[in-house]
Amino acid sequence: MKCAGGCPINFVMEHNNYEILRMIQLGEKDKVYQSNTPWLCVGCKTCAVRCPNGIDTSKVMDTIKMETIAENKIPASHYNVKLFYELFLDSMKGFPVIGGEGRGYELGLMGLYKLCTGTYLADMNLGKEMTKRGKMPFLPHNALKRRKGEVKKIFQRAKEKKAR
Amino acid sequence: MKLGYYPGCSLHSTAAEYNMATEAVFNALGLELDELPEWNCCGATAGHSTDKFLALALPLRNLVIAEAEQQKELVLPCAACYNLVKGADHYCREGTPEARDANEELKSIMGSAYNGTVHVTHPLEVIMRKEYISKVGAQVKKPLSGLKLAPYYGCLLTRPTYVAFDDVEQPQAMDQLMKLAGADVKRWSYKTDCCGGSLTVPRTDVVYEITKNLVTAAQRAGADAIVTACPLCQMTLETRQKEIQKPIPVFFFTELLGISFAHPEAKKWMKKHIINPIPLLTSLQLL
Ligand code: SF4
Repeated sequence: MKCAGGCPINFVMEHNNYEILRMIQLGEKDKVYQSNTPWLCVGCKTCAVRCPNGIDTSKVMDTIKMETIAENKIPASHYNVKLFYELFLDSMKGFPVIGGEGRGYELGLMGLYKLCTGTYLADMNLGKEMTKRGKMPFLPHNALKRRKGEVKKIFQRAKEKKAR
Repeated sequence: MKLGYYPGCSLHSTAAEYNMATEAVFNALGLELDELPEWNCCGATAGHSTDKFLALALPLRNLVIAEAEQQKELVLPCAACYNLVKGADHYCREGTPEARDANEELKSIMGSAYNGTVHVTHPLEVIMRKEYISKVGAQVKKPLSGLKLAPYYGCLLTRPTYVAFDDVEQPQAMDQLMKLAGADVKRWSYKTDCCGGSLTVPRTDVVYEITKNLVTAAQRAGADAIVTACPLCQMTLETRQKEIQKPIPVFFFTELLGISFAHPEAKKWMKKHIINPIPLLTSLQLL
């Protein structure tokens, strides 16, 4: 299989990407939800450009992630990946008092991730080295001035659409 | 000539040297980068993995601003941002129902929608154009002689096909550019493999494996350094070289061009690296 053969993460995936497609065809929903494959997929699209049937498998993986979250079926072992996604998006919405709407805020994101996972020591040294080289700004960017609130509104619409 | 510029979050933080070098090289080629006002983060993997609407609306907002600023081109040096913004542009041009919906929402939020008039591009694509590549040769004052390089494109620069400006499986742009700058460019099999960047925090264990494979493959090919065109690839490769006996520097392609142009600021960029590239460069008398 050209798709799984080129997949850079297949060495840790419980199922190859095409096996997931087969499970979907067979209606084995729970098996798909339990698999670590979608949560390890990095969306590199190697499979998508190689698929002789024109299937963007990585897009299927994204959809599986969304549905697993919506149905609250996410296995504990993949929770950190979802948490990281959520905090990443949260950090774009801005923080109380310090603000920072619309752009990523590395330091805030890492701080929150560590608080939530208790992994205080991991990458401590790296964080220090980055700060020393001016690569981890202390405060978030307050970039939206004339267009304040636009990004927040986009997030609001996303939430409304999901609730529907 | 002036070009619209979207640096993306990382060029203002973890990849500050990429920002400086890209600007310097573009200026040397007679190009000015005009940063888009009040741009927002494209949402990256977190966006497209969790929400179909956000995955389109976040990148599209930037295109609406680019149009309002009357930019015909928008240059995105981060491969991940480039990929998502180019994708949003592509879906708008195709007129998919999701893109039309996102565009309508943006119209009600921002007052205008995206009309599909911006050419979304990457610095590598711009430099490879005839009119600029012809100027590169004349600018090279300090050829990168003896610098053995493995050009690394990563995943998001050439995939899927609608974002590709080079061959999907065997891209050549960076190879050619680095040869033009005088470097000894090595052939290797991993130039489009993913670095695992989006998992670098929540699954560091997996990413260590991936980078180990990549870096040892580059070394086996005879390279003393890797050259990239993406801030996430650069950062992942530089910070996750655990268990590698002799870690190797990872450059941005504009940094190396800048060095070959003998740019006076080049040393400043080098000081920002986590794996110190200065010993290698001074041993080759390039700095
Ligand atoms: S997109 Fe995901 S499944 Fe497809 S090759 Fe890349 S990592 Fe594997």
